[in-house]
Amino acid sequence: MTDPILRAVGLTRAFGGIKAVSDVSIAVRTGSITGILGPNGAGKTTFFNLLTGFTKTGAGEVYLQQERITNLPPHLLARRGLVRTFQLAKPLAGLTVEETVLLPALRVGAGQDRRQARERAAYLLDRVGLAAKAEATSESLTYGDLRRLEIARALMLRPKLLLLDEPFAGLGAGEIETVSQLIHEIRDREEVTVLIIEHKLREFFKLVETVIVMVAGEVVAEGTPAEVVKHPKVLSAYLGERAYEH
Amino acid sequence: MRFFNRTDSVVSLAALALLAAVPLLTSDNYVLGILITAICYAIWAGSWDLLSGLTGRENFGHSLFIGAGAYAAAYLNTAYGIDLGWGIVVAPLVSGTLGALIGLPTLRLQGPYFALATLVASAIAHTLCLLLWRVTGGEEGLSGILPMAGSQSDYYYLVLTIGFVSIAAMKLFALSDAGLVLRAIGSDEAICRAAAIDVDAYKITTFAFSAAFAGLGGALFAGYQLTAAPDLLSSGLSITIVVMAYVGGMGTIYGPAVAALFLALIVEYLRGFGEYRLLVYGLILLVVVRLTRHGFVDPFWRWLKGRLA
Ligand SMILES: Nc1ncnc2c1ncn2[C@@H]1O[C@H](COP(=O)(O)OP(=O)(O)O)[C@@H](O)[C@H]1O
Ligand SMILES: [Mg+2]
Repeated sequence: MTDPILRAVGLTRAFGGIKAVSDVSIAVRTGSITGILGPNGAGKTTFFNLLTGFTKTGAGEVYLQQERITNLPPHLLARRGLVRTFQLAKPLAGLTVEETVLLPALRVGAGQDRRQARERAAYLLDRVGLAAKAEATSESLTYGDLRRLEIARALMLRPKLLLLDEPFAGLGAGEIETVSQLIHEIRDREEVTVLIIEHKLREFFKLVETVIVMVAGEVVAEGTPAEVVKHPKVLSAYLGERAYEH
Repeated sequence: MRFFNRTDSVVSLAALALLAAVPLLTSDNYVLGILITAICYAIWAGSWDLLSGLTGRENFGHSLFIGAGAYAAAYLNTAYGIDLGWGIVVAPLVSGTLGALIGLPTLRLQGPYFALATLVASAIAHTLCLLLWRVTGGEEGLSGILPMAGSQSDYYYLVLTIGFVSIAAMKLFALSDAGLVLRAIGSDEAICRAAAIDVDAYKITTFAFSAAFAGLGGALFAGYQLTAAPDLLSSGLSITIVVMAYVGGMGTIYGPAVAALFLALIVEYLRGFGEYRLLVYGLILLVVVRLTRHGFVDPFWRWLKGRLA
């Protein structure tokens, strides 16, 4: 067994008395595709924000490959290979699709040769099916395009661990299939560990190997998709509906 | 294309040549004086645009940096007899440092803090300037600066050269990778942080550059007036510059600079308005904001280029 790529220990954060994330401890296996499942308001996004330095922790620690990274600023974590996407994909006003993907390579000290960076950007745009739109403004993209563009930009950073916050939200059935395949490819070809948030979706259960279930800020179950959907706490959290139905 | 295209380069050099020819056509110091003033406004508006136009973080106290540069140069000259030329070198350092100091605590915050902080900082500076009259000369300002150049036209060429180089440098900066990063920051800071960009460092550094160029223009202006007056620290001046940037088209650098050049000339001819000048600017701003999203200068130039092509 290799060491987990990421460990959270007792991670806690409250907003005005309400514990959005409460004493959450998880370990993400290196090379896995792991899912975080939970109803809206369960604290999934807040948990990502705590891991990636976007929100300060109330208590608890985060370790990336055994190194303590608790509360480091987001840009430094991204440089260390902990890269996230957002629940709501947004365009960058005034930037073209290509520029949007290149963004991580444009900063001072990114240490990437310009031609290599452009080649990588072109390759990634091709992989996510946006090569034809490279010169278009990012604002002209459809929502589905924006989601894939965001994943391409994240990959530009050559992440070790990619955190995807509801990457399927707002997508049609065909697009869900495309993104799902893309995530698989990323893991296999780029050797990226993937942690995905979803609140309920059949595709998600086919994609992930391990599911961590969060309800009201706490982890209530963990296991394979098959195990988790039968878990009583998961069943009650989804109250009559089945967790994997769209 | 990210870099100057040929038309832009040719036209900006032609404009430079035209301005350079003015002293050959007239030796009227009044005309050259108006042009020197207009070029200083162009530097101020362009430098405002560097941070505020690219990132959308509006600075309502640009006069603080203009005034700081003007007073730094004036003080060195009148108190220590240090040549104005050195003042023009030191002024951007003083203003740039002030910019970094004010940006450091305020540019990290979201919301209107930065706009308010810059407004308040310049108001404090203005008040201090009047209170510390023993040092600053109070209402009278610091006068009696020894002129740097032998003639008005020599000084005009100095201001024109520095002005053109400054605006070209700022435009190139806006077109560079850093400019692109700043635009991205203006659009969505969280995305930029997630893309490994040190957003605060970018904003603070750019603000320091913006303030430094403002201070440079301030020193040049003081060198023309041979005085640093408290007007240079006033909110009225800051607002004038914001209006110029809006009229020019935010984030384009040359737009605000060109708008400033023209507005400064127009307003000079509206001298009769006297006290109503700010009112005139206020009305211009209302009209521009109501009618256009990108000002007049930049859209007009794009349209013209389209017609010429
Ligand atoms: N910045 C914030 N300020 C106040 N409350 C917040 C903030 N972020 C999240 N919350 C609250 O924390 C809880 C968890 O939200 P979130 O993490 O977005 O859940 P999920 O992503 O699982 O839908 C919700 O009750 C939400 O209202
Ligand atoms: Mg969420």
